Amino acid sequence: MTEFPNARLTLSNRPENVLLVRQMLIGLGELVGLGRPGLNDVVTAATEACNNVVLHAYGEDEGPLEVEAHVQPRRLGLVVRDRGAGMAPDGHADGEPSDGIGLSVIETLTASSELRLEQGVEVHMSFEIPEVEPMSAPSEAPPLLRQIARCELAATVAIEAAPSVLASALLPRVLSTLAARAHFPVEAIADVRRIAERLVAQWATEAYIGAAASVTQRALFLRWGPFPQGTEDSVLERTAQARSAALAIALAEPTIAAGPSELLELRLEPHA
Amino acid sequence: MAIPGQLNIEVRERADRAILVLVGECDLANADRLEQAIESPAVTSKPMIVLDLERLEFMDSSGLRTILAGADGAAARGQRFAVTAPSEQVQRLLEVTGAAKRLTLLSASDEVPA
Repeated sequence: MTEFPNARLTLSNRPENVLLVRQMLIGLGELVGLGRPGLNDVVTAATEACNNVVLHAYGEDEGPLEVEAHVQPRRLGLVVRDRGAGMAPDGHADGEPSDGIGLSVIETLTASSELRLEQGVEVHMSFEIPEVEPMSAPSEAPPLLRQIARCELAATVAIEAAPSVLASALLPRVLSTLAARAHFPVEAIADVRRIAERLVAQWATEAYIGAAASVTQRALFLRWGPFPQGTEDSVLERTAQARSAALAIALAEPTIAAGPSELLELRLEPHA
Repeated sequence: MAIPGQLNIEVRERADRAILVLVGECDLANADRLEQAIESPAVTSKPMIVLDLERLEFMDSSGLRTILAGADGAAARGQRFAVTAPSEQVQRLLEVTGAAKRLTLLSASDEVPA
């Protein structure tokens, strides 16, 4: 599974971040027409693989958790990856005792699963899904993510989708969950979701999009691209139309040049 | 609008049992709150503990371990322990891990087990 994924989430291995992976997969599962039983299995198995990264990949330290999704006509492939020290032969990275329930659940709920030792540990899982149209992805990742993820990993969630239509399934869910984490009022959370839906509608024909979101105590920063140069005013206008009075929106800083396109950053903050 | 990832635990005290109604998602990030609720004096002082899982939309192995540990703890104290009406995802987890065979399942939280 070396091709560029159709969707990728890169985030810190904090326990609360596994929820964001579930939200990504629920969105993806609904997009490919996966029914509730199948979706439950995907979400449950992926959660267990992520839990292993949370518990065992970095000891007491914090490090990256990556989740990739590869959509094929009748198969969904997932890779859950860490960049940690590797895993002992008994299946545990750090020698901590474990009852093995998580790995057993993964084996039972997947069509196939495999543990690989690469730079860290990779859990490869595949699931049967309904017939879907092939989704092409670039042969390699555009160099956007490096610029997108300028913030500290601990506070940033990077989301990539290829083709960009997949972003419609991922971004609204992930962003509204982050807004809830930042204690946005319910109306403002709904606004964030609507704004994300409005934004991804503009990306419908891109081969790839990358986005990064970070939350502070009261604000959510969203950076994304590629973005046509000189269109930030119209974006601001469109996103403003999608919100109620509960949310303030501002361009957080000047756009960042990224070759022929740009990255744009929005600051979303509930009104006091 | 439902906020994903939250776990709400409501404790209902009855003469013969404490009923813990779990709503939302129980995972690695919040399973410790379930453990604390099961171990609270209001719960451990009753003859029986019942976990109402009907509105628990998601549970991972962390939540399952907490429930199994709660069942073991209750047995050690001489309490009965049961779960009721799991959601589809939770039922599946109980089945594939074999936990369904270890837990007493009630059709309703006020049912008296055999």
